[in-house]
Amino acid sequence: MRKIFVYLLVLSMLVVALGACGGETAEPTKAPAEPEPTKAPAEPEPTEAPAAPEGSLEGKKVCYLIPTTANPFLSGLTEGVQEMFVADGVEVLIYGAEEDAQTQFNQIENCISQAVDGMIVMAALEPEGVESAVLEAKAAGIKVMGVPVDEQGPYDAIMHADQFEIGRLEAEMACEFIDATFPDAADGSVEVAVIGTKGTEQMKMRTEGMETIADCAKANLVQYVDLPEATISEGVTAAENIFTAHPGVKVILITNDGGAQGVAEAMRAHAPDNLDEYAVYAGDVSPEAQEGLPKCELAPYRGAVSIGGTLEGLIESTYEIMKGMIGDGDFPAETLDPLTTWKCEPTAAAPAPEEPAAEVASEVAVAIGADPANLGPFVGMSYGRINVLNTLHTYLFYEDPATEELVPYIAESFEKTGDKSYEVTIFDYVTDSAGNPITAADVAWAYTTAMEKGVYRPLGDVESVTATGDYTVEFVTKEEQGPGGIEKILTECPIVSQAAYEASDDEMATMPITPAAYKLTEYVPGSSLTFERVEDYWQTDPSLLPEVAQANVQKAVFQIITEPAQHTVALQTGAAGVSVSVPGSDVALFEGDPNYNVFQNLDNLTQLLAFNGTEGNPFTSKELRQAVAYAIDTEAMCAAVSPGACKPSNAVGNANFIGYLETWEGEEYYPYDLDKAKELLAAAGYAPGDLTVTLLSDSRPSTSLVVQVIQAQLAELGINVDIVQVEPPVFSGEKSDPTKWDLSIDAAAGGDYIFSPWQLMLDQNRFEGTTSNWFKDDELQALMDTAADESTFTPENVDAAWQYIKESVYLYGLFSEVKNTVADSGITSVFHDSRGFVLPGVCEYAPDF
Amino acid sequence: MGRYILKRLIQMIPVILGVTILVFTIMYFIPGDPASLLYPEASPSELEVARETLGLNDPYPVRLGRFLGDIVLRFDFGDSWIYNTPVTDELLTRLPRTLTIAAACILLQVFVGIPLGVIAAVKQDTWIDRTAMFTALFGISMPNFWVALMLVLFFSVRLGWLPPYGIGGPKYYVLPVIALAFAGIATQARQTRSSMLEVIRADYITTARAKGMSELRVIFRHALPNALLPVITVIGNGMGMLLAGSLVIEMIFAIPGIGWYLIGGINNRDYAIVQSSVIFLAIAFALIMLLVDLAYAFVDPRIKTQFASKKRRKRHA
Repeated sequence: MRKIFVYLLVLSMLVVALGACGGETAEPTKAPAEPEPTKAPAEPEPTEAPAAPEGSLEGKKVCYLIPTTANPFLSGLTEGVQEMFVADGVEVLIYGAEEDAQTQFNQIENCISQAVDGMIVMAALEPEGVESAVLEAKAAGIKVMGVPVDEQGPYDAIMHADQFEIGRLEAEMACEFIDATFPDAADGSVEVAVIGTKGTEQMKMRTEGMETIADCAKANLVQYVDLPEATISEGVTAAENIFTAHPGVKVILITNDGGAQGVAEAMRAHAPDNLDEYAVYAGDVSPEAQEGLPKCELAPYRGAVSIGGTLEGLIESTYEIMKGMIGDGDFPAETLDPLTTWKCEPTAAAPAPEEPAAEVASEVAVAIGADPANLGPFVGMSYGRINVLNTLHTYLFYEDPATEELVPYIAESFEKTGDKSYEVTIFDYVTDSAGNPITAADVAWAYTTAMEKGVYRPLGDVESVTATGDYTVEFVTKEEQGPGGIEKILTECPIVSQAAYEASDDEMATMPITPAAYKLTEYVPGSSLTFERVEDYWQTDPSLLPEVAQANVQKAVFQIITEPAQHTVALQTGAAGVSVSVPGSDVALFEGDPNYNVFQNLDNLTQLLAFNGTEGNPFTSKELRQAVAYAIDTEAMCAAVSPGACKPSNAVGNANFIGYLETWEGEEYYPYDLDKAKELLAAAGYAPGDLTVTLLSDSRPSTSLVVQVIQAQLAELGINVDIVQVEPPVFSGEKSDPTKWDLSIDAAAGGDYIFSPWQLMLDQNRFEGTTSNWFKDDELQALMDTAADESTFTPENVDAAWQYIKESVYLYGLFSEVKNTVADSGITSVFHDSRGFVLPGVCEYAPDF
Repeated sequence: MGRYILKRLIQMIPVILGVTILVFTIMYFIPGDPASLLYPEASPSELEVARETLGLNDPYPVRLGRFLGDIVLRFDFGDSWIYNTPVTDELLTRLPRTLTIAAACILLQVFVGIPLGVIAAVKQDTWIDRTAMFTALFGISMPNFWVALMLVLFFSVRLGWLPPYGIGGPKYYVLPVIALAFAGIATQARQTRSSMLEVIRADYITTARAKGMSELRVIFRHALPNALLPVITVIGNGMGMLLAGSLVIEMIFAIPGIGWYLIGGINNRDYAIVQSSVIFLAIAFALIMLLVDLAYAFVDPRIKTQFASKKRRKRHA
């Protein structure tokens, strides 16, 4: 990371003389404060180059030390300086350390032994390490110019930038944007986030400058994210996480250009319809951004700060300073680089292009990772099925993932008629694609059939569903429903016509007829599903058409591709327009490519470690459980398991769930601390090496990596782990046998509310008096029941339950995966349903797609 | 010959029956609960109902009897639990795809591998031989999934000549067939070379040359037919392996064939799919072995004579 930053800074530094030469494009706004360079003391140090006549540089030598010659910008700079010195008869020796600090140190020593006259040390790989060599050079009479990064160093002359000012200028631009875009906003009402890093002194200063956005009257700095490596993908992930925790954030400040591109991408996905209210600002700038920012072409990326100016200007500055150092001794001791802002003026911005009406594209291919197999309405959930579920089937209501409210779909409305009863009214003109009318009797029959088959867990809470009129249905539940309970019930069961279902030979397994906006026209098991738009769709009132029922493409073909690498190929060859299963390692191929858009969203599932709580098991000891939690480095696990597509857990559940508290993001959740883990292990009564435990998991490749990481990390603690991996079909049986494991890898989601995954794993009413992993804890049950009750579902109660779960650590949340969606750029907006899968009918397409 | 074929077909019956009972038994005892896979969100009591409905609670002999009865009496392999469709229909839909790949691979092996082996043998210890054998070694050493992905990257991504996956016209089969045939061609070439080297050192080859026959005539008229017996064995085994072993290629190229169907069945404990697929493959393999034996007779007059002599012996008796 340090080296990357060094490069960034060096690149920026080497663009130093921008101020002198001016920008190449557009009309950048000059930074308000452009400090005068400080002059060096008038008396130059005597040089030890007696051969040349006084004032002449002929025959002198300069060493130019750079971190690597592989960087084209550095090469261009050094060669440019070298060429300029040729005319003076000065020999410039260029040394690239190729990222090795020792090599760089030796190169300085070589230069000293060659008795050169001047030396330029650019971004020393180990600033403190080269200090002694620099002092030695100076003692030998060599003039040393430094382009320091973290430390100023003992140089005769330095070139550097005011990092705080860079950040401050970002904040200033952001504040201008807020004032212009939200003129009527109250003070402190516009949410802003900062993505910075305080890992190095320079970046810390830049970040602190960015944080002056808090001084902007209308801004409310709601989140700071520390991101040491702000690449495009990291920028996307960080912004996604910010939007998950704070959906209202409008402006994000980030340290560099790459990260800003990623944030912009995430903003486009987050708010495709009102992008003009969003902005991201960066602390440095790429040539492309220099070109695009003033023209507002990169929105919502609206501004950046660059250090200095052009390469030519930088070459000239470097030449002039070194010439003075080895010549007449007139050179500035410190050159503070001018800063230049590049921005899309909110007022001058070209009027936002009118949102084109969603056009009906002709065909789109969606690559999916598994075969849905049985397409019937009353079938258990599978990965393949989820991919096509909302294109194929319709429900009484649709839960809008943005507002978390029920949107009428087949049903018009519902009302609570008693403690446990609800009346649902459906539209009286619903038909399926074959023209069969859907009535209350069909709804009652569909729910009753699904309940009998036991395929949808929330329907287990339903006592009865009865048609009370042609278009009214009564739902009676077994218990009074808590938050989200009835909503889950009303959005869980696909509705089909009883007549059509009974006319089907295979219970609609291969060719279901549904009231959806698309009808299935062909299903080749294992290969593809083809959907055609229903032209005479029953819902003709656009105001009543839920977003999920839009049909913006005539034909959607779901291609079943089980080999992950082929998803990448499918997109590269244009065989597929969008995929939700691109491997994380391949996402970088598409990032920054104008032909593709990359979207990332956090998976609902929390991967977790469960402890066996049966009597006599070592993990009945809380100290031991905590020791294990402290000994597991979830950051490292993410890097190993799913680099770039994984977020370490802050809780069991994540920000996708209703009720997740933002404060948990800032709280410690068993951060990796081996010393503390060892203390707790000792407190539990175990010495290192005493304990051998069995870790059970399924045998999927990703899980295999997780268990290997845990095994290695617990070995550091002194716990021996025997791994037992079984096929997924066997796993569910094995994990319910307490004699088979001590630790188990599991995953939980279970619903829309934060208590859903807790209940799924820990509800003792569900598992015959214990949690799923055999702990008995009345206090836990009481806290969870309180948090999950409609009348007591408050942040305080949710937090109380979570703090107890965290402290008792019956489960330890490891991470949530990040799903990557890559789409052809002709798909201007990609719509994900609440499970994160693409609905091609709701996506928007460019006219020429 | 007709009686021989009939006899072999009758001999296949106990083999298939044995395979049927064996695969049923394995699936019966293999751990994993199909009910919990079919109904992942069901409660324990609902799962119990599902097991009862699916007949999973019945004892082994009852289930085996039911299974055999369905197959023997009604030729009904049952319905897939995960697809809810008759397995026989699905197998018959998928079989042609797998057969197409396997047959094309065999053709490629025969028409590329055998000539390669012949040339290598005839030009033994020359650069041609070494190049051919190095290529063969390379072909055997490279895993077919790697070859498949390399082919896709080159011909689909870089050149854009061929579709990277899916089913459709013949062009969809080009890359899968090449990827799958790669190792087979190599094996075939090595086997042919080895057989040819044995044969061309035989006295009758020397005699043929002494008679002044052209080298081409010696090789193709006298040497090759006699070297083909082990080569045919390799082809027969290869065909069987291709039928069952094309699943990796099917998955990479998204071709819904038998192999992929079988793997899906195993992963989901869909007994009907697994049992039926294995039985289908067993029948196919047995038939191929019969063809191999008949091919022996075709290329080796001694074997043909054996059939004829048996017939004659019986007539005289």
